[in-house]
Amino acid sequence: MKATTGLIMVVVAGALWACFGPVASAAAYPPDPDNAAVLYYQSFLLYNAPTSESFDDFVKGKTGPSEEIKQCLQTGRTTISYALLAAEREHCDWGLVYSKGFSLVLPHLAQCRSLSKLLLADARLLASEGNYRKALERCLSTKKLARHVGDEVVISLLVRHAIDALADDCIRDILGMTPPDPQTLEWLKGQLAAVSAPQASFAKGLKYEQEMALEMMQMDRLPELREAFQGNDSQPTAPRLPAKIDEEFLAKNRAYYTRYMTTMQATLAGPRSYAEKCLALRTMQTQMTQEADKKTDAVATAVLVPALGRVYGIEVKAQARANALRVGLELLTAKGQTGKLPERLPVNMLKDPFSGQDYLYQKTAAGFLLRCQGKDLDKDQVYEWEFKVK
Amino acid sequence: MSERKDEKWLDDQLQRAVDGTTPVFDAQAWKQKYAGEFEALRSRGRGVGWGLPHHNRREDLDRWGKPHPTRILRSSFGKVAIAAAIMVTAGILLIGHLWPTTDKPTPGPQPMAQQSPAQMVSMISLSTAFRSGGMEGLDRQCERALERLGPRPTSVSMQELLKDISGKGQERTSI
Repeated sequence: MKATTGLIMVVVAGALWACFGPVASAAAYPPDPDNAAVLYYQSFLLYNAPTSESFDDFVKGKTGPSEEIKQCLQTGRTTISYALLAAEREHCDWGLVYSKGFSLVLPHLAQCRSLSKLLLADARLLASEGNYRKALERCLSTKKLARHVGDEVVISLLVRHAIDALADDCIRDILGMTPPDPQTLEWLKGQLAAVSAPQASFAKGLKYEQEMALEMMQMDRLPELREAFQGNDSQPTAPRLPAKIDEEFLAKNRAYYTRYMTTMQATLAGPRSYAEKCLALRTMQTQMTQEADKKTDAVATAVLVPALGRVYGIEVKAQARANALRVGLELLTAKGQTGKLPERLPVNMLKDPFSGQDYLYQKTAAGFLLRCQGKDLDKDQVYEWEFKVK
Repeated sequence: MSERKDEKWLDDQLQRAVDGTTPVFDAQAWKQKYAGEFEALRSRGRGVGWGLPHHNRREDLDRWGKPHPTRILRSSFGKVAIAAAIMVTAGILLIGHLWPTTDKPTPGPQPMAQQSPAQMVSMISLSTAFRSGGMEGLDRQCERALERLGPRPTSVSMQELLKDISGKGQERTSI
């Protein structure tokens, strides 16, 4: 009898749950957005970027935190919380209208750059207060924001690299403020590997841009093409579209553009060294610019193709910086484990992509330096990164 | 009716109104009557050249020791030279204004300041900024765009929004 009563109660409870359980969950508020961009846009709306130079100096680690900066960060708390929430999302769709072609607006790029500075200022403030782990977490969130900026168009990729560079500098500075802790360093290495994947590449951006450019070089898209050229008006020496444009003009320009981009992409994807690729890109670009001055076939290419030689240099520099940070973490881990820095660079370390060789490792009074063996041929500069060690 | 006739008519009227005789200036009598003042004026005239015209070798020089402009104007050669200079200057100005030279300023490209915020953040504008100034150029363009797009309110309270919707600051609103 008791067993029957118990069974009836279970059945009734089950029936009640079946009836009212789903109703209760349907009445609950919707889940938070899983598109990071929606959260970023909200943080942009809430954020008043500080215009003072002292804020930028603080973000770059040139100065300490002032009362003004602390106040600024206090005001930006809600913005920061939304940005952190967004950074944890896997998916990010900015809702860009690619069909607009080169008139496509990218207002989020400037805002992302500004937001990244706020996050890094917070990281530096946390570090100055001794919250190193939390400060590093802010830097990682900034790198996630950089990844969310995307690489669908070349300009986005450039902004991504710029944000990444600021975050890496901040990480390096924070690591120099505290004795190396192997456990924290291991955690950081894992986080960096996760944040950096998938590797950004401008091959994808070029593919999208090529598609957009060729669509725009059609008679029915002429107003948009002209509009795109108007964006170039601030450059007095930039090529201009002729007043009269016909299908023949566009066809020749499409053919030239396709030929040029195909050659460029083949060069970039090829097995050549950085120096060889750089030289090849530069030669092709010079030739194209000269041709654009002489004949109209290359006019659209001259305006619509990004400065690929320069973009390539920035991408290689970003790779060099990321590799240097990873190598630096290995050296710091060794210091944390043995109490002293290695005399020589351990084997099988990541290489300097400018030369394909190991970084030059040099111990200094404050820590150590990692220097590229190859030169950035676009900027005529050899890069080095300093790691301070406590 | 000419101006001369008018003057004649006026002179006749004046003559009748005074005493009917033509007034004559007697310089000698005036000098004798105002001897002191006349001598004072003469002595100022002999000084450094300020005041009354003076008659010495410096009369044709200005205060900087260069030929006085009036002296140049008085000579026929000076007149011709000045006329020629004026004509040449006018000619140069006229040619410069009318001649279609490549240096002549033409309506230039739209300055950055005139770009709308939307234009500033278009893909082509950002690409151009990068092409001309590298990452620094791109960064500057982003900063400028941000200045034009912002600033934004740091917080918008529900109450403020309701006030805006109702259009009445103090009135209580319910939705």
